[in-house]
Amino acid sequence: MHNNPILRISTKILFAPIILFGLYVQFHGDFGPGGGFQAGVIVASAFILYSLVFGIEAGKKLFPSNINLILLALGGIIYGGVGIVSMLLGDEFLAYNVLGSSPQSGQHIGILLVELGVGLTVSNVMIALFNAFASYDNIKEK
Amino acid sequence: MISSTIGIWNYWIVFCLMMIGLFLVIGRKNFLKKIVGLTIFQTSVFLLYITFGKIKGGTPPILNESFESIYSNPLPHVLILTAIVVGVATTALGLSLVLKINTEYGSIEEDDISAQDLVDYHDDIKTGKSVDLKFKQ
Amino acid sequence: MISELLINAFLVTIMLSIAIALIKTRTVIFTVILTSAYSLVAALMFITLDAVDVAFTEASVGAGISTILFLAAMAYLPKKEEESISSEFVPALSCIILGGILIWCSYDLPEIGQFTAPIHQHIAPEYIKGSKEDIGIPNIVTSVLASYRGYDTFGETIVVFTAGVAVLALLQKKDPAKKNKSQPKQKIRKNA
Repeated sequence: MHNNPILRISTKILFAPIILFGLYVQFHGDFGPGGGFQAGVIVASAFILYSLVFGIEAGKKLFPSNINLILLALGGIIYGGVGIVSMLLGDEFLAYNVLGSSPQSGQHIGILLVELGVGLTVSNVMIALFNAFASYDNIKEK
Repeated sequence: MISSTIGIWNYWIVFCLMMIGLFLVIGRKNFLKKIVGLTIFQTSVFLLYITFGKIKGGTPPILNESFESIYSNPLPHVLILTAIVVGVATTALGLSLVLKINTEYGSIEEDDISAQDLVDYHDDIKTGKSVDLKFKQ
Repeated sequence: MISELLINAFLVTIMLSIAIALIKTRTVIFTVILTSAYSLVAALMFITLDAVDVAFTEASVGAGISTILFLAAMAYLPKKEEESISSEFVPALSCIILGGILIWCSYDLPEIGQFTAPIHQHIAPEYIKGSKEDIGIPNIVTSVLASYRGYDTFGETIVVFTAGVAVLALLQKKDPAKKNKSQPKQKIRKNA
């Protein structure tokens, strides 16, 4: 697919809008359908499209594997961290009421951060899965 | 009569879909087909859950101030939403195991793999040939 | 209201026909594409059953990413499914018996969309009320997902993380410095 100009150019045009749509789904999840799980998959699909058209190596240059692995773990840490912070502020694990000035704003902040953590983990897991499958070398060991 | 049949028609078909998924898992010897069967089974269970949450004349559970309405039950939606993503992650795990098996044995057919294991077990070319013949019949 | 149920019945019957085609086909690429179509029709069903968030997820995850993963895995696997040597009679019979029992039991289930069904009585009304008053977020699914059932979602996120790490551990190259591609694929293992 490296030589097809239509695919290359349409990928370059589509890449940014897909990420933008992913961010919209991520941060609009409070008001409409959407949230971290869907947004993570949509953002991952942009990177997967890039890797499919330009090759795995170009995809890894765009989004290096070590950053991928760090972000993969960071999502879970953000989620757990919100719980720990709410514990430090004197409430139970993952009780968001204490995070903001009023219970409602605390809930808003908590849900936003938690969804961010979910989105980071899901998107990076999907990219890592695709990279692992695509760059698997089918050689018997020993 | 027609109304009540339509009322439980979804359940019937969902149970049929579940059984097709189960059949693909236990009846077929191809590992990829088994994983596809698991996916089919999974999706039909999702359908069953979502069907339970439906309320006649209800709207999707997104609050709207401008009009009063009945909202469908949001709880099954939440359970299934997370289950779908976990399902795809576990499917990927299964696929990677299938890839490893294919690399090791050169086949993803259950019969083929157990035949090869038998050959290894006896560690004898003669036995190997007879097993191979039995496998080919 | 009957039209909603009719659309449902139609879509679920399409899903049944796709599943039957899945049993019949022996080519791997058809299997993968049919699974993708199955997920898409399931997403349509979720919309008619008022589960917009689930439909969104199913369309992006089930029909999108999982198809890509199947195709990526398919590249290394045999493209044809072999005919099985053993009989499929016993598995088919046990599936039919189990399905018959389930369908028999379905007469005890509440009809679709009954407001009086037990599931709608207990905790969902509290979530719908609380999402408006305590949390202040219009999308009830998000508020239940992230706030009321935050522990649940935390666990699911960790499961996704663990599955991803497990796949990476399984598929990564053992020794990237030493690449001997000359080793041929063996059909039958000899003296291991």
